[in-house]
Amino acid sequence: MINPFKTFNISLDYVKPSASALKLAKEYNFPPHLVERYVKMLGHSDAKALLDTVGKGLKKAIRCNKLKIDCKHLKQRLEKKNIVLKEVNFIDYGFWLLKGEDRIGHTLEYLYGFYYIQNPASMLPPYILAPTPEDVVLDMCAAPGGKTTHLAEIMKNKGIILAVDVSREKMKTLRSHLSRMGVENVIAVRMDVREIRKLKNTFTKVLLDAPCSGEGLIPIDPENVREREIKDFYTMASKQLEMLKIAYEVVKEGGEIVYSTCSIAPEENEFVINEMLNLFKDKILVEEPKVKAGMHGYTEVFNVKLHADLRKCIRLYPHKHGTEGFFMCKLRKIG
Amino acid sequence: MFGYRNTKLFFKNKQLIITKGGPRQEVFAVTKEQFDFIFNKLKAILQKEPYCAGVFVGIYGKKFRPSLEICEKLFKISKRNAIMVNEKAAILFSYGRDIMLKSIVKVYEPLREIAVVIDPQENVIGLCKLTVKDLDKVSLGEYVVCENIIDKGWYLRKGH
Repeated sequence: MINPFKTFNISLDYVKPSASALKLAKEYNFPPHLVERYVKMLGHSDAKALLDTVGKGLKKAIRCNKLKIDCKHLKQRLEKKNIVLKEVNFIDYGFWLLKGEDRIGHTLEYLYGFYYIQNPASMLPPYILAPTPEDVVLDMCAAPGGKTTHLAEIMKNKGIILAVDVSREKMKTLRSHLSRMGVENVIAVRMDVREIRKLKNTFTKVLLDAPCSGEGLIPIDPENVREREIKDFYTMASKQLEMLKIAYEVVKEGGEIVYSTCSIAPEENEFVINEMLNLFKDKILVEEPKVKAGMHGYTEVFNVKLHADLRKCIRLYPHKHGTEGFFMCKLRKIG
Repeated sequence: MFGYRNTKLFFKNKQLIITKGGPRQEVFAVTKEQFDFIFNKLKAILQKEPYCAGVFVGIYGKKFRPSLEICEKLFKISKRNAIMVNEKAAILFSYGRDIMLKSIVKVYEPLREIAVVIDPQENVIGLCKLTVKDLDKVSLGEYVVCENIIDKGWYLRKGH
């Protein structure tokens, strides 16, 4: 098994299921090694609550596109079509759908680019990165464009966003969303993001929404999670760490990086950030995000003691917050 | 289509680039900042062509074909060369249907062969090609007067 973490020790004993984990695993028809992790991460009752969300789906939400419409006006327009919205508590232009979920992708307002259908957890990384119209931003895994269009909205369609993705098909979707949402400040390039390291110290901000195991998508894609073995988390972590190192190389001194995944696995999240903090010691900091959402990151999990600053990272869970399981952390490169 | 002054106003402080990566030559309008980034970083260091950038202006070939994006932006500035249709026709147009005379609520003169189609709130739905030279000379309400070239539903059905 690949272990990308060279600066701290991990004993894989943590996945040996206890009797209570075995019982839960049987009750929910879920792999025991995964359930054992959930019990260790959350405690027995919260692990059970998480498993209760398996395959249950998630409430849909939209992000109002302030580049094209005033959000109050959008709310009124959709209410006339019997689509009822409720504000997401941590982003005032994000709305849960209380009524009309089935029609939300088929309205003229959608075609006009007045909103983007997006889980509120995915709205947070660009919000936390908070780019200004003066920034030069790199969006490392940009397609299909939910976070790219959000960055453009925050930047008021000014400055530069370099949106990179390797997938030809996903790139088409990205372009369609950019057109639909009226985005003008994006340069999209199809390439392997590893090639971007040639642009050292270029960007003032970097968003790395890294490819991941998707363990946070238990409510909507449980089969994918059921297939996961422990080695998968470490294989993913290896790629994520490589990408985060690239992000560090291309961001300017004083610049910021937001790292996020739709996974709740500490192996893909806190462990990756912990390794970065160990590797770059006094040249990187964890920043406190200016948003009240979710829970703190782990500073100790699976018998591994981690940096105290990891507390500043944010975790979201389907059973606690009604969102996808999600992790994000804001880092600053210092001189 | 939208008047010289209006067009000039939109393209003020913008530069045009033609992408060479794909099967067709596409034209994009970019800011000076974006232009410099494309040439000094993307092309010079990474040796990459942008997939898209800024605002898609159209396809460059034997005849230049303007994009829906640029027509939308130019209509917003000029308020000309457009046909306003009723809500029902707007929805049908977004599914690829043509425009019948009876659906037209208002005309923004002067009209060209290719006109912008808008809904009653002036939101752009697409582009159509006029099939008659003078709308006033058509008496049949059911007569198709403008054929769908591209509509916003196209982004969902096909995409770029």
